[in-house]
Amino acid sequence: MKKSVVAEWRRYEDRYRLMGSVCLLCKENFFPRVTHCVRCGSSDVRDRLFLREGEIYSFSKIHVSPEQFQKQVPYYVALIKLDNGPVISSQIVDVGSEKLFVGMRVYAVFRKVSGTGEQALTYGIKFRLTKK
Amino acid sequence: MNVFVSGQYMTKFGEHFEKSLLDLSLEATFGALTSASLTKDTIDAIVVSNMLSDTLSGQGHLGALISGSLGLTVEAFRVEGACASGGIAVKKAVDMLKAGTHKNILVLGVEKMCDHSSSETTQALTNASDAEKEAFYGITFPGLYAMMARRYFYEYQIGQAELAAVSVKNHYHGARNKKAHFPKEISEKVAMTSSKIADPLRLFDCSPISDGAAALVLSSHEPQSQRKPVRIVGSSIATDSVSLQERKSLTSIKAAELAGKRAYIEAGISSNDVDVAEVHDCFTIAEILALEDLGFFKRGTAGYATMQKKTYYDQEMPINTSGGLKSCGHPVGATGVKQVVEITEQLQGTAEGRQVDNPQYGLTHNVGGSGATCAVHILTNTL
Repeated sequence: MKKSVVAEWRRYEDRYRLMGSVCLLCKENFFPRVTHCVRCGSSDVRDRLFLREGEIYSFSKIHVSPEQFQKQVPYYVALIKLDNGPVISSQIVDVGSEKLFVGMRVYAVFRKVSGTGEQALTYGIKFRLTKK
Repeated sequence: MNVFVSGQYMTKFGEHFEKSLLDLSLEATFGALTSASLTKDTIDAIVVSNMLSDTLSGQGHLGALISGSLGLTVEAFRVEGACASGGIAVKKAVDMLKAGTHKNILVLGVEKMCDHSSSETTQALTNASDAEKEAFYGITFPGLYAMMARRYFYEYQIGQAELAAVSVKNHYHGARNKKAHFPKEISEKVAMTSSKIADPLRLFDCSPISDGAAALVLSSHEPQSQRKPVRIVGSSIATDSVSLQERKSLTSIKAAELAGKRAYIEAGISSNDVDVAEVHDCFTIAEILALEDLGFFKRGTAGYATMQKKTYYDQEMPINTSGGLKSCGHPVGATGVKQVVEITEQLQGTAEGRQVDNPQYGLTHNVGGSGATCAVHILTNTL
């Protein structure tokens, strides 16, 4: 996909901090932000900043990647269940020799996501393993 | 209103460096017309299934491209639903025949993927996932199915051996299909030691990048050919969220369950009545989910059943006799159409070398993305 500065810019609230939405009618949480509740259809939704802690719902170690992620290979991707929010998609970073498992505790950090050389750089939220 | 498969054809799937998107399309089209004993002038509509021609071939507007290349002026259009494009095309043709506005519809599935490096093609395929929620973070397509596999391992305590058994079985079938991309048997050891793609998925858990086309002539009247008439008696599409993070479960595909249920109801049968099925094994885990979503095996047991060889063509529940996406190949727009070609041949008794014993009902299950779209068709040779 060709990167557009405008397309990146309009998502910065949910890319740079865990800003999602909550439906005031049915209380469902969403990340990233939505304009209408997917569950009940209400447009009565408000911004909601989720806590930075959660646990791994599922994960994979990527060995073959698209071109713009090739410098990061191998890297971990995961679905993370936020403690007070929904399941979201991201990466797990700074994993040393530790073996990942479902249910492992993680916390959010701010990192570069992709882009090198003349490409636009993109930033976003990734996760680190919580030290015991 | 009855819908008959009048004719069917698939090109060999594989690397067709010497053939263009249009060359493959016309080979499949004339193959299906010959099989139907019909001339091109009897076709009154064309539905084309394709996912990547804009991105990889710089060509859109496929409906008119095909119609014009046949010297026709009929209604023609393209449908796209990622890897489920083929199943959607079949369903749209069925709907048009049932509406009574057309009599003979050409359904053409085609994909040209091997003109480009595998990283370019992989990048294009990523369009089937959620661009902002998944692809943005470097989550690849195999990565999505890998997370489904990892969760399935966690919930049902199976492992890589069960996944490998799917691949070994599909290659066993593909070795009996001369149209297959990789018509070779493989051992469990080869599958389990192949290179890692997205842990826990290895190379032999993944369907290949292929060129190919498949075509059907669907008709509202009984075909003229000498072969056993085959009808489409169930046709259903269901959808769900494109991103995995919004799904209630990673160990079943809701769109497949729903499409299956609706198709069974329309056909007036249950999963027990299905004698042979082509299911969407884009990754080995996807076949395990399909067998459970369609009701062939109980939740958590399809991997074990595959290890016990229950899904071989001469056993109790024959699955992917063509070799599936894994061994037969996966030219994405062609796959859903090819599944109907294979089931039609099974029901006509012409699947030489891999023929199921006297099947009466066959099913196709075609999935788009990581499960956001599913098209299910049920075919029969009973009257």
